[in-house]
Amino acid sequence: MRAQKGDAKAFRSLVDRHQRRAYAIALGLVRDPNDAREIVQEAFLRVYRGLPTFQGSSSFFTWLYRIVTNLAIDLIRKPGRKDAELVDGQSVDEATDFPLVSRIDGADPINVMRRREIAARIQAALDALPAIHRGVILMREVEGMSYEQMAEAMGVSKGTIMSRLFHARQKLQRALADCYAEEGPSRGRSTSGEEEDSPGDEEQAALPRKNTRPKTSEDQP
Amino acid sequence: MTMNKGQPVPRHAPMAAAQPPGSPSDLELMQYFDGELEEPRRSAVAAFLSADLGAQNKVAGLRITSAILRDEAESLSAADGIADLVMAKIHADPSVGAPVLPPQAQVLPFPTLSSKPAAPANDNSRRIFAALGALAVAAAAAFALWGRTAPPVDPARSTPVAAVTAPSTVPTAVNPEPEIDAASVNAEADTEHGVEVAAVNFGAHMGSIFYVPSGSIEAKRTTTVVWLADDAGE
Amino acid sequence: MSLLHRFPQIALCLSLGLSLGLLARGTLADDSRPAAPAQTPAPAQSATPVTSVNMEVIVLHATNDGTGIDPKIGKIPELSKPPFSSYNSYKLLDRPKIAVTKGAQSTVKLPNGRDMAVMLKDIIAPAKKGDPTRYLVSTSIQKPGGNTFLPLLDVNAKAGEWFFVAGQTYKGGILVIGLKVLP
Repeated sequence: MRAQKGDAKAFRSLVDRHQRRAYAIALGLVRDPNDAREIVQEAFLRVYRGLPTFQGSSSFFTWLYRIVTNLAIDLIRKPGRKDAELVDGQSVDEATDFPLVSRIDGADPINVMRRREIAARIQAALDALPAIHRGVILMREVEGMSYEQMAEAMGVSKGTIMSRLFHARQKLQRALADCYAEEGPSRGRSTSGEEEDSPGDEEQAALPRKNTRPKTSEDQP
Repeated sequence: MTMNKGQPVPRHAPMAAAQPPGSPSDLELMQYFDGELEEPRRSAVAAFLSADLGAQNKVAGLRITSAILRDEAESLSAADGIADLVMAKIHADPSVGAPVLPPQAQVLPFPTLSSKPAAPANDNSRRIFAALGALAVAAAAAFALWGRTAPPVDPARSTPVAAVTAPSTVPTAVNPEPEIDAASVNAEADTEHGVEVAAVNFGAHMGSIFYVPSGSIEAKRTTTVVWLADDAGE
Repeated sequence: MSLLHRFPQIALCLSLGLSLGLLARGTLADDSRPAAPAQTPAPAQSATPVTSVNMEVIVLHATNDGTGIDPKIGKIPELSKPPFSSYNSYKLLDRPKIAVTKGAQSTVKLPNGRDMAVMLKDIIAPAKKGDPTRYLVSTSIQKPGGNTFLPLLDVNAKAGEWFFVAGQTYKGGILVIGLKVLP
């Protein structure tokens, strides 16, 4: 690619496109804005240095996020860091599945206040996760990385990625369910047969994605 | 699902309680949502979803949290400017941007003496070399003793100076800027950072510290520059 | 004939000996002669403790308007090197000189409405003869009643050395602020 041939402008546009997402993932891992910025800067610099020898055997983003993850782990493991728990040792909670929210109305024109409240709850649940679980779910949701890419970036098996992702999503879904539960029975409607939740939309949303943003009901026409 | 004795349950396979046969586990719903489910299971789950409201809601829940996390990430303007700082570092310090060569490319040939004549293989040569060695040591000692008694050398002549001259508009009432004492430059000719940053807090901004070469290349001195990104401006 | 063959070794030995001698002479001479006066004379190190120093501040406006480096700035070769070279033009906006007293804050008003606070935190006497005095200077930049741009920057500087704080957005470019302890 042009960046690999030493085109600084091309590299610059690469950084411009990904700095926010890389920052979000780094921030999710280390929970400190200054540290996250330093990590992302360093990661891009290392990528730039390694570009001439990058053989393209893995995707560029896998490589970038591998560096981000390693830098974050190094920082988290430093003595004195309060965010010491990298990974939750527990296996997937076998007794608890995704909470069933019977009144999800994803295509509802969610008003700004409600969305902010939901976002705040989800963010709080995200903050409560171990660092690596945060990293996994952000890599998935923010960068749209596949399980295989995440496994390569984090240096673990695909099964471990699935386990961590499932665990993280359980917690977030619980926070979302709490939001809806607190609203009481007055709100919500059945989504059965609703256009936005038609099987076609589900299928479309679940099509295999490679480095693209997963579609949501908001993306549907 | 039952557990066989002695066999560990796969960590990534949750045991759903009392699921109808063929119904996807929540893990499978997650895989389906992520587009990671292989055929024919993917089609089976899709068919199940079309008829099961509960499963649809679970997938919808995943969709909502996904959208929220993505939107939150995309709105992180604190990340803007990282590109500026990265490119500035690459331009400022060539070694930062220099590609890392494979180890073999960095091996330099070991310097060897060219056309070194073979020493004659006899005892006389050894005696001669020993004598020469002794002569060299004696010469060294003589110089050392000479140095002790020699008058002090004018420091102004002995210390090369790297000049950073003041601008000509400096009022004469102010002392003219003295030349920097390059005697303080590391004797081993490592680059010396001019001003040392003892502590820094960039606050909400992104910042970098640069050491910009100043003066002559031989002096290997740098000027410290603290560079912050400023989104808000005035 | 054999001597001719061995000439390179002889030369090597003699030059080695000369080098050793010169090195020894230099080392011992340094110890024996009186300490050279510093090229950057520090403030008086006599009985009276120094509690304040003069500093020069230079406020530049960096843009890419193609006008080049203002000659009034003088010779600051760093401005033509990265990262400064991201901007092709530098204009001198202000050049105040301030007296900075130990423990007290001096303020410089910046063109963008922010204040730069400068404080002399400490004066570090040289550890050995010939070393220069160093000054621990603290800087911060904030808007009165507003946000803080740079909460803290502490530097350890010798007199005559510039250090710069850059990056504040200003009128299509940025501000570059240089500070230097005057001898």
